[in-house]
Order: sequence, then C-alpha cells, then structure tokens
Amino acid sequence: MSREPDARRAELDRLVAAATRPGAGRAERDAHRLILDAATAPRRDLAPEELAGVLRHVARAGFDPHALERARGNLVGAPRPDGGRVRTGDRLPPAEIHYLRHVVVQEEWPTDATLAGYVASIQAVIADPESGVLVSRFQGVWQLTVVRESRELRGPRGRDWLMVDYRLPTGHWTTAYQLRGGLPQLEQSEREDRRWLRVPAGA
Amino acid sequence: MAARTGGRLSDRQIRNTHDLSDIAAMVAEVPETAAEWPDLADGERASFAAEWSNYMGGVAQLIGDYYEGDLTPDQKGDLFALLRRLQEVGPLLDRIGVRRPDLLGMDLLLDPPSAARQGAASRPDAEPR
Repeated sequence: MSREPDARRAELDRLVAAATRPGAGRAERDAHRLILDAATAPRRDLAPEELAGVLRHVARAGFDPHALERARGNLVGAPRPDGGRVRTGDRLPPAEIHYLRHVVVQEEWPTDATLAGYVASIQAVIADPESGVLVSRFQGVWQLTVVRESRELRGPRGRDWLMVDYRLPTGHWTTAYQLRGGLPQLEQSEREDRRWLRVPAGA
Repeated sequence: MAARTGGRLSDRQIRNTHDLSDIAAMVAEVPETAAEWPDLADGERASFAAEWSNYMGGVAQLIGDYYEGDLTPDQKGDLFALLRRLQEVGPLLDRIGVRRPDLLGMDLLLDPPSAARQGAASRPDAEPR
C-alpha cells in the first residue's frame, strides 16, 4: 500500500469511502480497497494472499442479520424453518428469504439442506479455490460475485452453476442462487465494468 | 400452471412447468414492489434486482426451449401469457431500474400486426393471441 502514488492513494480513498457503509471495520475497508483497486486498475492483479484475504472477509460477511425483506413471489405458504408458514406480507431476514426461495421452494439445493447448511455451503463455495471471482458494478454499485459449478450442491431443480453476490455498500451478501441462464447470465449489461479476478474452473 | 397434456413429460418439460410458475409469481409482484420501491432499503432493492435478473435468465431459457420445440401446447400458452404480462409491466420495470427481458424475437409473435407495421418480416409459426 505504501508504494501507491499519492494520486492513486487518494483515488482509492475516495472509492472506498463511496462504496463502504459508515462504521465499517478495518477488515472490511481493507477488503474493499483491494477489490476496488483491482476493479479500477486493469493491470493490478491481486496476489494470492490478497485475494484469499478478500474472500475470507466475504465468507464471514453473510446475509445482513438486521435487515428484513418482504416475502415475494412463490414464497407465500412455504414452511418456515422454525415452524409455521410464510404469510402474505411477511417480512423476514434475508438469510431465511433466500433459503426459502432457493432451497425449500425452488429446490436448487439438495432438499435436505437446512438454513444453516445453506449458509455454510455458500461459505464453502467462497472458500473453494476452484470458484471464480468476478468484480463488477451491478446497476451502478460495486459487487463481488463468487461463482462455481454447483456439483454436490445441485438439487432436484438445480442448475450447472451457482453464485453468491457480495454488495460492497451493505457489506453483506445480496443473494446466493443457481444460475438459470448459466454463466452467460453474468455477462448481462446490468453488470458493468466486469473483471474476473479469478476464472472459475470448468468455465 | 401445471402442464395439462396427457402424455408423460420429459425432465425438461417438468422443469419448464416449475419455471413458468416461479417466474409468473415474481412478475405478479412487480406492481406492489414498484409501489413500495421508494421506501425499500438498498439491500432489499438489490436483492429483488438480483433475483429478477435470474428469473429473466429463466425467461431466455424458456424462449429457447420454445424455439427448440420443447414446450407442450399448454406451456406455450403459459409462456405467451407470461411474456404479455412482462410487456404490460415494462414501464414499471423501467421506473425501478430493473431490466426488461430480451424477448429474442418473441415480440414478433406477441404482436404480429404491430411488427408488420414496423416492417418486420412475418413468421409462419406465429401463435394465435
């Protein structure tokens, strides 16, 4: 970091400040700095230990435990992990929303996966050295996407590839699902300024 | 939305029945989501947009299967109903900034007179409205 020219250091300071929530800790800011450095300097390749540090942070980030999302689409009526069923208008934690959608209702994961198992499987994918790592601006906001072949995580209605999105300004995962449109789905125009920091095995 | 044909469905057709149902349920959410959009947190907006992107990837797959002849007659009807509904909610999608699906030529089948007026070539396999 000390070898950065002053102008570049100032530019990165600005980018990190714009893409990081207030009150974020040192580890989060350091991870975002590396992500944004690689994202905005095409010749800046992260060293293996730098990428590993970024991914350790992303794996720990998880879904936002303090947020709530409305249960949309096909979730109404789904059995909740702690009993009862989802009702119209329910607002639930993001981890439960995405578990219900992608595991319980859409059976993208093995049907015996629990909520904790779903989250653990995402962490395992992030830690897997065969996973690809893509940085891009999704609808204008910087995100890091980890993508891997679904393999043992492919359920009855699963797909060949799965991904998890980490959104820098929230410091948490946005979603984790199996790609209906395969890897080309990540090439859509809504993901701008794409750069693969590591290409996934099997791509 | 279950396929209503008498014969045994292939695995792909079973998958398509589920996909049509999943996607139609999310499309039905667009008006309410657009109404609440100004009050949603960034994380919930991003979550919706990411899920939407995946469902639209599914629409592209369904359209591909239509052209490959892999949809049952009932699934074709459900797909056309879904695409018309997507056209109807298009202005709401524009307003909240999530992408409209790429219809991959299906707009010609959905509205042949309009397409003809625009000078587009007519297609022999156009589905009746």
